[in-house]
Amino acid sequence: MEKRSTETKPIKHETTVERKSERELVVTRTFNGPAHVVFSAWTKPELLKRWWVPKSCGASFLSCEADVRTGGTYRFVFSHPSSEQPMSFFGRYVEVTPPSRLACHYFVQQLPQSPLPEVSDGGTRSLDRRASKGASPDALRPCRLHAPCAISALGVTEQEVHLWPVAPGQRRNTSRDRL
Amino acid sequence: MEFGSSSVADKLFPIATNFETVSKAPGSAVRAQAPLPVSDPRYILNHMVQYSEPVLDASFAALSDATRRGVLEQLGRAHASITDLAEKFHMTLTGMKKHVGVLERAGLVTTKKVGRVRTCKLGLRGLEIEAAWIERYHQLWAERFDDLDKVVEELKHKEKTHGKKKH
Repeated sequence: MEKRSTETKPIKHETTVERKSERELVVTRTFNGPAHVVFSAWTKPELLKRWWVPKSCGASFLSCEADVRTGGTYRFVFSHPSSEQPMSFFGRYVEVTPPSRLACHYFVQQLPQSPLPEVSDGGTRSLDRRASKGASPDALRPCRLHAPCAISALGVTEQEVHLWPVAPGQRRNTSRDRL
Repeated sequence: MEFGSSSVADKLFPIATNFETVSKAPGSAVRAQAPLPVSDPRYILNHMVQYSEPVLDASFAALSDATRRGVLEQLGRAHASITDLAEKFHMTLTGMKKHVGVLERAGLVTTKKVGRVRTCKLGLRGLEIEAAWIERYHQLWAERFDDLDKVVEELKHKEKTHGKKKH
């Protein structure tokens, strides 16, 4: 509070959404913070609750539970003025590799108590898993986020989050190209 | 058609809301039911309900037919001739011409005749619907990430001060 803000305002980065195919979208964004910071904002419920629901949506978290490890499950429950029933968003982590990779399946439902769908890994996967390979975590550099999202034949959405360090001013990350 | 899907779910999880029909089945295990592909006009329309009423109105009649929605989905992937479409949908040429005519009048499809072949592709309005859907998804993530920026700034700041305390 007492600190005068002499620092320049952080640059606001563009979010891009690209449709890759009939069932695949990719969201990309650069953050002014290192990968491990973004990773924890994505995996610690108390932090995730602060950004995951856009304010314009009007929904609020009733609970947010996440067992963040490979094979662990998560469930976010929301309420919204327009709906009596809470709504939940739940799924399973398919791969958790801090701080560079997080892959999960998710489902959305109105009734909070239905069973988690059994989703076997493989078979329906169509996402490019190589994207994270070349990423060597650099603890201090800003990071680039790459989140492909695909709909599998079972009706489960597969979401991946890849984070990798990016040098300031670097326009495109090259971890994919290095492969 | 599932026009009445929850608007909250629609806002929060645009890509996932078409699965409600699957997950709503009470207590059931997931059925192996293929979801609507994102290019399926039913699915796109689902997201368009609050987005752009005029577009919806003009296109509604054209989209009320399953074959025409299928044709749109098909054209979202690649251009096709009327003959291709007739074959794909097991129809006569005349029948397919009528469907394409309806889509064309709604601005969803444009056609061009070269020689003896009439090629169909998505029209402006069809592309608009698709673009609007992607834009919606874009808005959702951009808004989330702007809030995430704040969390990241705060965590960075905390790390800095903690780091200083520790020798």
